[in-house]
Amino acid sequence: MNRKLLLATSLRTMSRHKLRTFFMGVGVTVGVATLLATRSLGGGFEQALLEKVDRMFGLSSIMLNDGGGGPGSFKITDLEAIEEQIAEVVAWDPMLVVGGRELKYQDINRQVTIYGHSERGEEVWNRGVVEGEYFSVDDSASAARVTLIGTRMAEALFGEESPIGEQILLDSIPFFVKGVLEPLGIDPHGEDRDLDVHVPTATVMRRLLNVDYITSAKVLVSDPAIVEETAERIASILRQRHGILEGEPDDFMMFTPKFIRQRVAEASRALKVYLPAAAVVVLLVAAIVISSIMLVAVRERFAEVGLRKALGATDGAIGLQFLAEALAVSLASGLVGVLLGFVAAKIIAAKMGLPTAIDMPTIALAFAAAVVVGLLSGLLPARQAARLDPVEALR
Amino acid sequence: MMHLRGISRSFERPGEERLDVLKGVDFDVDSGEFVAIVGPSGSGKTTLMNIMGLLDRPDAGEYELAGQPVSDLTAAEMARMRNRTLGFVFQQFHLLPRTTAAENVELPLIYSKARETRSRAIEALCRVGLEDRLTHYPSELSAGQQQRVAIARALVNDPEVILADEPTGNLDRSSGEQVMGLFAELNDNGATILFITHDEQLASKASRVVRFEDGHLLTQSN
Repeated sequence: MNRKLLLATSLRTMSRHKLRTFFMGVGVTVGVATLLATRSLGGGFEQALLEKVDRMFGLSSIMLNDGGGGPGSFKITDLEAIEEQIAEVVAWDPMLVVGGRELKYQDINRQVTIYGHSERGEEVWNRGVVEGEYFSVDDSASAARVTLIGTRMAEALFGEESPIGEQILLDSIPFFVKGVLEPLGIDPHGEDRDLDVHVPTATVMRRLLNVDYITSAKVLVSDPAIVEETAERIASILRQRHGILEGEPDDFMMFTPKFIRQRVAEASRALKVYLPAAAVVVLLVAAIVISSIMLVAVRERFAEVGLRKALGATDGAIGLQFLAEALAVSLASGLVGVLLGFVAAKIIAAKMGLPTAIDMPTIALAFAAAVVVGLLSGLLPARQAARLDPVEALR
Repeated sequence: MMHLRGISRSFERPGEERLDVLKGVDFDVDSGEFVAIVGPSGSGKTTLMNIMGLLDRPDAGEYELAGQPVSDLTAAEMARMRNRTLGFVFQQFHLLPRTTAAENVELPLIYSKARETRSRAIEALCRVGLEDRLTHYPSELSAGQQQRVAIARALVNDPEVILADEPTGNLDRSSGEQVMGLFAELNDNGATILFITHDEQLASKASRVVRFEDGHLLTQSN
């Protein structure tokens, strides 16, 4: 039998046994659709996360956090020393982050985390204001009682009204709202950054906590290419200043873009690897289903196989016919699966505001999976049919 | 055309006694003969025809078909001879369901990788008088018509031998006679015809009647 006829025969068998074909194909369709959708969404999710991280963090940034030594070890003077000794450090923003503070406005009470930022926060974090003004040098110098709030916080407190110049209470201390921060959405930690409350770092130190330390700082380096080596130089300056002996652990933590990208990749692995792996399991089950349905079909078609042999079909031709049928079913349902997966990925991505990354390799992978399923599931029934004794079959 | 010497065939089922169905059968059929095989049920007629039709191999004995010793043939060569040299007609017709008459007749041509399979199938259906039933499904045809489709399928590849196992067993008398008429016509055109029957009257239309009993060929009479 030539290839065209083999295909025609397979398609005819499929159309004559629609229900059977449906049950054989549904597993492949679901598997391929899941594979494609999860791979696409996983790619899109990672892409979106990286874009957000790049925007929030930047490629030439180093994040410093206190740690190990407990609070109090990390000082502004540390950062001044770093800036003095490393010419490639172009800017830095000292931060003091405190959670569980009370925000009060009229009859609204909220627990908030207060982020202390310097006037350089706008540049260093690439996040300015959409309304009002950012912190000034004077605000830092005088530990001014001013605050910047996120767009959703502004809406929660003031509704449609402009919050600029309004007074709110933070830990019972009055603050004037100076600006509304650019929207940022949910950060990779799951925090809604549009509910932020920012206060000058100096104000948090002197008026809210009365401490002389900070909790963290972000440092900008002149060139993304030298971030990692600059981080090492910063570490050695900090170790020296904190009097840490060789062999002892750091009393601070450092995050570089490379490290953060690794974490993002780990986070999106669930979508990019584990879910597609689940889809592969579905496909394997689909192969078993096709195989067993076809084995039953071979028994049902005993007479047909016997007759075809009597009419001159070789064992190879019979085997090929069953293999072609399995392949045709899985390819057809694979095609439906690709379409379904494509549409599903688009819909889910649109609802979640994610880009989809449907690339040719992913589609090729999904299709290859369908072909493998077809071949695997067709092998056993094909062998069974080819080996059938025509005398037995025609009885 | 066909020469059988000392052909034996026995079947063994687990838990049952060995059943010797053919006990050293010698049988010769010349080219162009029209042979009827008669005998009681279980006498081995069908087993003999299966061996002659290359659907089964004997346990012992020599069989030569169209000058070829069958024992030398590979499975693929046997398939090729079933396709080109032999044509089968069965008691139960064995037409593919949900497949038109023309498509059913086309089947042997597909396995011989022939060209213009459709027009040759239509030609064969014309020869059995079913030119107006080409696109009918078996379920839409009478038993006699179905058997004529099966005969068209048997003759479509111009085989030298047609083997028919009780071809009229499921037909009424007039349809049966129609089928026998077709066989006679094919025989006139040079085909060798062997058929099994229980009907002495139909057997008498053959040029030779062979009687089978208990795994032996009893008489070869005209």
